[in-house]
Amino acid sequence: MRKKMLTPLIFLNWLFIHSCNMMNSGVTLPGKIVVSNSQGHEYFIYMNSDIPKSFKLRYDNEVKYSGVDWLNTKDAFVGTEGISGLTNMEYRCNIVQFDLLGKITGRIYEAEKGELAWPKYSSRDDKYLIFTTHRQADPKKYPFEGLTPMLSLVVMDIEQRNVIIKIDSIGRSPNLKIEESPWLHEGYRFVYSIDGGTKLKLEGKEELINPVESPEGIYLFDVPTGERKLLVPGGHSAIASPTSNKIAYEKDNSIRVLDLSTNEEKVIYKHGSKEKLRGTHWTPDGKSIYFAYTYNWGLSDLFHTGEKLIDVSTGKEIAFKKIGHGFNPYTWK
Amino acid sequence: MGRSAGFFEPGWQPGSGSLSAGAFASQDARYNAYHIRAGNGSALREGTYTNNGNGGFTYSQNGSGLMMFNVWLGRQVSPGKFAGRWTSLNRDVAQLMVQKGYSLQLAFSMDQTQSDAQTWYFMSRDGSAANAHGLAYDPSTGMIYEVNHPSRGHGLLLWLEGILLNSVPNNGNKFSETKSVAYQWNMTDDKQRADFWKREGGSVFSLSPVTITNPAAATAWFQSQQGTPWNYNFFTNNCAHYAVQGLNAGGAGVNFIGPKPSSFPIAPTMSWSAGQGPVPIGK
Repeated sequence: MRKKMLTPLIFLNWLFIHSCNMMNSGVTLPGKIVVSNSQGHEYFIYMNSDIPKSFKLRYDNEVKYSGVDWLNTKDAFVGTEGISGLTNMEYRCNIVQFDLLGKITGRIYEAEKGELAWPKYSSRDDKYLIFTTHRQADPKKYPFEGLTPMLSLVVMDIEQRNVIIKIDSIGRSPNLKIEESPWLHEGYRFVYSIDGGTKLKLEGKEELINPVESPEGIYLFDVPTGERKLLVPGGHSAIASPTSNKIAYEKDNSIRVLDLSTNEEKVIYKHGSKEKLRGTHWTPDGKSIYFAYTYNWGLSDLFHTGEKLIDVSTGKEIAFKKIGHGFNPYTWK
Repeated sequence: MGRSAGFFEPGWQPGSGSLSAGAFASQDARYNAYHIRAGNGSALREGTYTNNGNGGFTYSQNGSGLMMFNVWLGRQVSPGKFAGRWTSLNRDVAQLMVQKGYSLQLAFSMDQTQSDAQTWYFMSRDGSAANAHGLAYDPSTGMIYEVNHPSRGHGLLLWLEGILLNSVPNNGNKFSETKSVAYQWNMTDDKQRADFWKREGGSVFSLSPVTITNPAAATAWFQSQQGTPWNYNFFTNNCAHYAVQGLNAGGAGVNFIGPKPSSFPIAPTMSWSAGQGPVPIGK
């Protein structure tokens, strides 16, 4: 009896997913997208095309290159360079610049032994770079620091190679979120968020291993003044428009857009609690918001995945050719 | 207990002594895996035996074959003679096999040495929810070990779907797989940690401390699985079984039906997407 019930369910699931795969038509996503395949350390470059070129980065026991992100004013990347030490505690992570072939063209930030720098997004004019750092901790004394390290936030002048701002203990990973495109279109201001949605506990204990010590929400940081303020309480995963003074973010199971010039907020997409968004990003023309999602059916762990492109002005979904980048680490400009 | 040609893999040596219950019990923490030969049929099969946590084990040969063996009944589904690496340290099962008249041979990796006990953690995600998941965390190295599907999740229905259709849709990605794969995440690598939280973030994790008397053996067990297919079984060989087997390889002695974490046998796995997997060792 149970078998009879399961068989059509399985077939419907298979049919649904295959149908979704066949419906991959529409516009080609604008701009330049680089998707990494972390298993092979291969990077695929889509430049206004759905046919990629690729390059590989070295990743072995001595040196690990990874995590490329676009610079804005030229076709080059910043990325991380992990260098092994005599012990695990000496492992460090620099920030370097790559060309389109994955060749290193310069070192931007030299980490000390045991210091790990990550991630890094440059301002619109590539004058400044923001990134986080943390220190390797003794696992015997701090067994969970590897899971949820305390981070410092750093702002660096790329040309001068100077650290101009450093805020220690700003939050723990993964509570502190800095998405690609944190810099506002105008001025040297950027957004980040503190999100306590990921909770780590010891079995039988109520207190969290990764408590959130600042109010949760989206923060706006002004580099010239060094001031920061809570911009959207309860919001998270903020991304700044590349063409206007707006930010998009997630709050209460919706994607919202806030115009910082008028303080007007608009909901452009609503979803239920079973839908989990990932990889949210503005298109480079500032007209749409892209995201990938996982939708849990609430039956066993059955779910399906997909990608959407939402027109910011109308809130309507736009058909586009999917390359699946939202499920992977990627950079897009 | 002589060495048989083609039975032991390079780097593996035959263990000493017989497989009496006492010897097995006292020695199991030293070994990260066992080679096993069982049965007396005409065809000798070699492959990997994996404890399915339900009083039996599954057998695979180059990822293509599957044999279920029920030790408690003292019989296998298909008759024959089986030999291969047994990656479980469930000595009760081994002892039962001896009692049932099967001959077992031991082997162990030469580079494994006893080391000081450590505290590792079984990580349970949303233990009561539909998307529960079980993983193992070694804080001394920052490694998280898990078994999962690189291109999609599985769980009950997708597991059955894989059996029926022998194909898992790839959702537009470039590969299709029918089996789960064992992976590790190096949480000291910021990129891998970011990828891990990108996939797993937004959930509640409970960490259960587990005493590992032989960390080298546990590490070796997980590394021996790294990147290899896992015969996922929603009921008897799921993600939590994988994590617990690795912890037990290090002498944890965790029971599948003990107090906590008592939900091990029913914890399904969760999804991730192609390309988000962590990096194989040494790559």
